[in-house]
Amino acid sequence: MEKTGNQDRSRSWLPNCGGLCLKPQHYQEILQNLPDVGWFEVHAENYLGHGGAPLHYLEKIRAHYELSVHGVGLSIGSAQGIDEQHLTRVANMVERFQPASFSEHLAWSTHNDQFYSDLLPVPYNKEVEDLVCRHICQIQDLLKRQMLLENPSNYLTMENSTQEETHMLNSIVNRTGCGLLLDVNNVYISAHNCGYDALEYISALPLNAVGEIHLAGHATDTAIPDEPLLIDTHDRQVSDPVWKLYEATLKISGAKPTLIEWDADVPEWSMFLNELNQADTLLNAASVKRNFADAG
Amino acid sequence: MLDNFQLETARALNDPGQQSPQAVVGRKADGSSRRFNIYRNNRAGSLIAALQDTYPVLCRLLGSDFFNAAARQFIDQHPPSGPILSEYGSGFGRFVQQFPNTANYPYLADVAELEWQRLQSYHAANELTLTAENLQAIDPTLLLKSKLKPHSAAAMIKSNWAIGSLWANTQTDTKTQLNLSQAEFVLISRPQWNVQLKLLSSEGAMFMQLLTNGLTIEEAATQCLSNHANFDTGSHLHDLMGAGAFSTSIH
Repeated sequence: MEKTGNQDRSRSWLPNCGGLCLKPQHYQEILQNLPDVGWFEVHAENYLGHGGAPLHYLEKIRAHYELSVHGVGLSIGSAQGIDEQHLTRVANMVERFQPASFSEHLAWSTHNDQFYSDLLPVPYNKEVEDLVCRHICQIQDLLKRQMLLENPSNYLTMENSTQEETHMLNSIVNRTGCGLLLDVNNVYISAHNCGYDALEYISALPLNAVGEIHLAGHATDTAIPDEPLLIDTHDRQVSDPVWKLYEATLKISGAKPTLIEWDADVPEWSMFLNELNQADTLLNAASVKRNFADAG
Repeated sequence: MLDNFQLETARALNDPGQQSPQAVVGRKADGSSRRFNIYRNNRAGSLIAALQDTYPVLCRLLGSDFFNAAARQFIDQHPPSGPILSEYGSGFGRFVQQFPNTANYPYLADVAELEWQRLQSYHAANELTLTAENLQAIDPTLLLKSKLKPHSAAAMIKSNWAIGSLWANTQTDTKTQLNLSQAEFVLISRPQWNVQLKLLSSEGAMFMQLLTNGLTIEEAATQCLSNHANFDTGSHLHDLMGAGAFSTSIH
């Protein structure tokens, strides 16, 4: 592991059960009824204002629940480096809310001071591996904690890639001590779009480094009927094949803290709970099997 | 090498006429532009959604087709520089107002400015608001010589159009008849967590403006009295305080 100054780094430690993304339309519901949800996740970038309702409600909800802070704008794969001003704002937010976990993406979104508002793909090669490792160490040093790195949803492959994505993720985990945020929906999308086996991909990851799993809904682009593409939209329920892939993943990884992501066309609260219950049911089954196996 | 690739990708994202970056290939070589377009669409979709979140009333007034088309042009010409989308979109109202086909709706830029200021107020720093009790603790002659500081979440917009009434009309089912060419002074404030709008009289707005400019209560009141013979300092001060216009730091 590369030495990064601060070796006394706290590790990601989310409760090993289902969690939900926190949406403003659900603040009141949550505070009034304190529903049985293991933990909540927020996007860091939605809570970087000076004050007001978002930070107020997050503070109140944080008093009752564990929290995961998920960054979407650090642009870890940027050749031009990480925006230190933005990183400082994120670090201050993490310091204030003391989340159980902080995570970001294997992607880039900023170039020449322009923000592209999407998680853009990086090629997988030594240059990018070194760069991403440097940036992760920079983040972990400032946050004084381990971060989790999320696998992207891929729509294409790149000529300048010389490694498999799983190989690169293994190297990054080994070199930086970061954990993984395994987005099972992203794996399903990428495997479909780029033509590989989803469960083989997952089996090739260092699963003991997975600190969190993401599940979400996706859309299908059928503009070319013979070659449908899956698009990561976070605007609907988790699809059946993704639930199946999740179940198969838990069989090899054991139970992992699991988030239901839903960021657009946010439904009423009861729909969120339904999705959460499905995840918790599969997580319980995975824990029971694990316990039997341990006892045997 | 990565920097060149990202430069090429960034150019292709900014210009739909530009080919997909050379290094980008699909499973089938001919499908690469369709695949790259997913990133173009994601980017445009997320930024348009951010502008819709910031300007919901402007979107209703323009209709979503026109709004989205204008948003695409705005994104091309004024792309975001940072990843916090609630900080993106300043000036979109003035941008829209420059289109020839919005000339008959000259209040749009001010409506948008009202929505932008509401957003600033929503995220502004927390601060206690000045109350009548705070003022009662101060010797009245000293109070007249005091300066008030606008609350961190307070702002005033002066418009030649009835933008406050128009905005309020979009928030309820019971519509009131509007005279759009009636000038309005709108005070935006956030006494606690909810952003509020309050219409001010012209003398109330003048008083607020003079206090914001740093005049003492007495100086501001004297100027208001010279313009409005019946100006009642106490009642205007009370009204503004009630709306959360001032912070507790008096000096």
